[in-house]
Amino acid sequence: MLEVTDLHSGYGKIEILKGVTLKVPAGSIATLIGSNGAGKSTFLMTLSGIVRVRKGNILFEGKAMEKLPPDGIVKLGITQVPEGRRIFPHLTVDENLDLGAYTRSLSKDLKKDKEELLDLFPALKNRLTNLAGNLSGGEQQMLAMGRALMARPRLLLLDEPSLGLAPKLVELVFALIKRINERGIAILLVEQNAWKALELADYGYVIESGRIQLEGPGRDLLSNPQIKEAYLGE
Amino acid sequence: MSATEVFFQQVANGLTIGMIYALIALGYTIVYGIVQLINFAHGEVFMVGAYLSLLAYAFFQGLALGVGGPLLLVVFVILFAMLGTAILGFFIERFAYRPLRHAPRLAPLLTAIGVSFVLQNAVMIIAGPSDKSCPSLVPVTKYSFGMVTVTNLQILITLVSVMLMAGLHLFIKNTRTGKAMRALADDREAASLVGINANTVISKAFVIGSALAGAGGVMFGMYYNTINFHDGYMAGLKAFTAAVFGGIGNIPGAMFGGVLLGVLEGLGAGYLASEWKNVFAFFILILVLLFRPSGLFGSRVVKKV
Ligand SMILES: Nc1ncnc2c1ncn2[C@@H]1O[C@H](COP(=O)(O)OP(=O)(O)OP(=O)(O)O)[C@@H](O)[C@H]1O
Ligand SMILES: [Mg+2]
Repeated sequence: MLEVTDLHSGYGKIEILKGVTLKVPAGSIATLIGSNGAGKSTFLMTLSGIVRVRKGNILFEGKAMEKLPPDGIVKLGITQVPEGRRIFPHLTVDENLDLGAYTRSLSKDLKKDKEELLDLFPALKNRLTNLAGNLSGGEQQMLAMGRALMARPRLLLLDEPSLGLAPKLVELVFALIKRINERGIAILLVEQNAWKALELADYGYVIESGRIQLEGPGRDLLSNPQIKEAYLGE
Repeated sequence: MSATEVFFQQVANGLTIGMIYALIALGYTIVYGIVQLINFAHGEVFMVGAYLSLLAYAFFQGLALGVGGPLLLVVFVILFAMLGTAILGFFIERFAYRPLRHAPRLAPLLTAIGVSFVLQNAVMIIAGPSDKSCPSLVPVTKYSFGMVTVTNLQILITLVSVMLMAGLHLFIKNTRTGKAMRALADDREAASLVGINANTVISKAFVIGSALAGAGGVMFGMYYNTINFHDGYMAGLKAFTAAVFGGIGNIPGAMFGGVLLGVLEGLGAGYLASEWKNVFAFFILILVLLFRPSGLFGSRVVKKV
């Protein structure tokens, strides 16, 4: 479904991604792990069209998308839950969700979609009229995920969704990712929490200094001694 | 007139002109809130609005004799000028600012000066360098309320301004575009991630701000009965002062700042000397910049409705 080949991108004169090749098959969960500054967020931002592609190809369901603007990519069916949640703090929870569906606001199913979504994130139900900035960290993460789902993506990009959350909430976030995936939405998950990510994912990639260093089925990577030492703290 | 009478009379007069400042100030604030750009050509858009009212008057003056009477004429003239300035605002954004979106901040500032210059000169060439007299559009009647005398024109200007501001408020609060504007003001990148096309929304902000300034221009002409091609400069600076006063980027702040500036200016003119009126506005600007650079209410950007 998503096929990235030899992707290069960066900021100004600095090249961050130096040839990333990666695949996310339809309906699967892939994870991308790597240390701080490895280029994980840059990779997701490049996929979303925020950072420009300098070289390489991105195919989504067979369509080349490396030249599309961010709104074109959302319309194609890829949305992102960015690092640090990035909800709109001065808008209400409800408005944040509405904006998630910005590219399809004329659709008649919005109400139904929002109801379904609130079943997935019941914590948001009573907070619809609150300003998003007043939510707790966990609630903000739910909102960021809900906002990204309102566009009805077929591929969801998640950038460190468990960052800064209490252990219980981390469990919840991972459970939600699983449930979202069970609805047929493919997932590309960037995580610091390599253990949990590799446990959940069908396939994992390890990125270092803008290049994929290692890849394999999630379980294989979990038992890989190199990974154990570098990312699992053993 | 006693000092109290002067006070109330000048408050009433100041309110009227303050409404017009507020309408112009909104354009500065909406655009700044979304792109952090001060469109210094905005005063010229206001001036063009006043000139367009002359053109519209020539077209529609017959309306005043029909069923709707002068009120219908006012509506048509204002709508015509708003449409004209909206189009102007669209082109200013598209050709003067958009190409410089990622340029250093000084670049759009210089372009703004260029655009002002072009607009002033274009109007001067087309309409001539001397003052043009503007019709009030409605027959003016005076009403006395105790110590204060107000005209129907002042009431009309206040009503129209309040309606336009209420309309803007509802637009920003409830529409899809209004929400997108607030989202852009909050987090540009996150707005892109949900599929908001920043260029389209920025363009709409210019269109709306310019239309409001156009309406302000018409009413300025109706009130003072005269317009000159360099009147946009002073009015623009004052409205900018008002926007800074209320906290640049803050919509209710711009409304309040405009009205307050008008009133303070009216009082200054009443108690001091009317020649000092303009100095007064800039004195306020300097004070605000010195002591409360984020304005009375803080520049919370379009975020706050
Ligand atoms: N907007 C930017 N402008 C310039 N350099 C940037 C920008 N964003 C990130 N970088 C640099 O790019 C490199 C990769 O950053 P990136 O955020 O992609 O890493 P990451 O793998 O997501 O790290 P983390 O685990 O800390 O989130 C870093 O050296 C960072 O300093
Ligand atoms: Mg990151």
